[in-house]
Amino acid sequence: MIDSTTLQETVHRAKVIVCVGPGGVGKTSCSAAIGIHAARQGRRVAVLTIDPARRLANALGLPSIGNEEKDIPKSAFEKVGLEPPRGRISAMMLDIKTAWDRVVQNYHPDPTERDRLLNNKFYRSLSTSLAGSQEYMAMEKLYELVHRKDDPLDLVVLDTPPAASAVDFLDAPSKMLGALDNDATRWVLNSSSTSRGIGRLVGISTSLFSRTIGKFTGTEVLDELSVMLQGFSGMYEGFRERARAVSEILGDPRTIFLVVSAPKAGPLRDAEQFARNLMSRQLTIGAFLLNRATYDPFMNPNSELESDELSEKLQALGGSDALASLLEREAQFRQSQASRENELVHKLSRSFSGLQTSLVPEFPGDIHDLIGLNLMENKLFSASRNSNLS
Amino acid sequence: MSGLPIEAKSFMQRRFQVVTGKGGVGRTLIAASLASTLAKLGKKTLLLEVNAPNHCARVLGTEAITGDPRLVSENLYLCSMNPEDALREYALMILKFPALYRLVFENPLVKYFLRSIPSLGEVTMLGKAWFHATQLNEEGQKKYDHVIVDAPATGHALTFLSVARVVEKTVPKGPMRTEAGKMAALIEDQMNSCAHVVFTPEEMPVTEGLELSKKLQRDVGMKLGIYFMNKVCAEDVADRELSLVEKMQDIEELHPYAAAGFARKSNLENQNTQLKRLLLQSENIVKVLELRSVKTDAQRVSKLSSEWLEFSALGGASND
Repeated sequence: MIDSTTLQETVHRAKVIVCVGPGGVGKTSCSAAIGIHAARQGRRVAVLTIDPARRLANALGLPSIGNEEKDIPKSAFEKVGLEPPRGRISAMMLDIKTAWDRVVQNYHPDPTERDRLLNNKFYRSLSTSLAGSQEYMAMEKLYELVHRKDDPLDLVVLDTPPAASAVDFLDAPSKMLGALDNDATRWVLNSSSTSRGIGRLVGISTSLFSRTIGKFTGTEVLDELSVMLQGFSGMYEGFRERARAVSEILGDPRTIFLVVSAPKAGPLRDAEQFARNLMSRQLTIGAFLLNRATYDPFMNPNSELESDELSEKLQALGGSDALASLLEREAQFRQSQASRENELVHKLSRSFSGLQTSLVPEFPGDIHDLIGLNLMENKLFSASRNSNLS
Repeated sequence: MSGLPIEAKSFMQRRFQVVTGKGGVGRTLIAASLASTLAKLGKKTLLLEVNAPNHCARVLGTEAITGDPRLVSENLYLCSMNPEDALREYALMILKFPALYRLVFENPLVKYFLRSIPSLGEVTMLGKAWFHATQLNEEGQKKYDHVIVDAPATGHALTFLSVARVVEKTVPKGPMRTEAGKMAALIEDQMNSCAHVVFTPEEMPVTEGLELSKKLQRDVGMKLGIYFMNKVCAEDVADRELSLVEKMQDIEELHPYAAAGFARKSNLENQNTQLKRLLLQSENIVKVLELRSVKTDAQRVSKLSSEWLEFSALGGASND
């Protein structure tokens, strides 16, 4: 855990930042705004999203981004009247199919085996549409970015998919290691007939095992799977090495996890669960970023007017009583919303004492361009300077 | 709100309905309200939650339910699915012998091996949804009239819904492929199944939801149902006077009200822009008002379902 340093300092010393949290709280915008901030400090930054929905392109004002890294050109900032960052920022989105093919092409030692694998039916669906695949690939990509020799990066900002699967992401390296170091997998690889092989291995009679599993998936499924696993053989050592390296990256004290959420009951519950999960893995949490906090119009004490007084003043401007009552209701609603949010956030920071909690105020409209991201960056970093609740 | 589009009413009464959308837009609220409406219409309705423990239970104000669906209020059944339980149930259903299941499937090495088969969890959860959607009661009739699935957000929803077709195309002949084929047929049933997409009146949820809708039709092959626009702010006559906020900023005492007014004004403007975008794509739009005075989700569900119920009765929508 990091003591009450500002978010600015936290970001400044980080080499990798991982934004985690539930869906719909602005994780992608936060990731991008943090990336821009670091680039403004003169650093070379890459923002990577593994979210299956293609949001980052939208948030960064790019027409589309793919597996390839793309710079956000200085002209894009200038065009909308913003000062471009001193450093460089690029963005990329994980395209699972291309990423898998690239790993196989880059690391497979045997060209014949490699082509057989690339054409295997199981491999093809694994690399395109099967669940869990993107987490493996995000891991590969993170490794690639952190260890890149040419055009080295000062900071990698990683945007993750919503709660349930971000845990999968954290587990990806160990799962990969587990699967590869697994006796069952090895047996599959060394056995001519998979189902018989496993049956023998786990000490259940061979025919019972193949009958049972066969009923379940069909024995051919296991055999086909073993063809794919065999196709991967020769690559295992590399997988293992990189998986271990990623575990190290995630556990490094300069890899900072930011728990992004919103100051509402549901998202805060998710955020809390997430933080506990990260802590139990001995990972470094930088801060809770609670996005879209309601602005309290009566922040200055005694600024509330009596109803008549408000009506009068509005009348002088040509406003009706109906407007007065609408504005009164609206302002009171926002005030009570804001105070409820404050309460919830205080509760959170009490149960994670010592951990920084930043409320990021909402602003009109939502973020889908560089101007919005710039605003977000300002709010994010001034919020953490001003409202350190811990 | 002035009633529901006629076609929307018929979508609300399909047998198998999936609710998805961007994270945080209120999918669970919509799914639970749909299920409650149907239950109030006297239809046996099952609300299934995909791997998001307790969201539905919390919204309905009941206890979490896993494994076998349980009755939570008249005609309304609830079940929260997760990959582990679904795998066990599915295996037991096929194997029929718990002892055999324990011997084979609870063997740590086999467990490990099964976990390394990609998407097995999704397949078994979808399999469970299929099972309940086609399950018969003692009289040989469909046990549930409606199955509503509270599906994951965007990308994971697409993975989840297309997994049956992927397995069917990938896996060699055998029980798994046969089962997957049946699941895919349920998903792709153009007459009795549909996918609803939930939005909020903001740029990103609309962009993402529209992209998702395209993929649901093109890649998953699912019939698109209703576009639910959630958290719509009801316009007041006085909203027309909000242009005054500019002038209000010159008077210090009015600043708090100008701030509130300005926030409201820009929300409304944005809301109208986003509603227009949806209208360009679909006629089946159902607006769901942001209910400020209502404090709990359970109250929201009850209010929303009463409202829908009223409209479906007024429209004289048939039960089949």
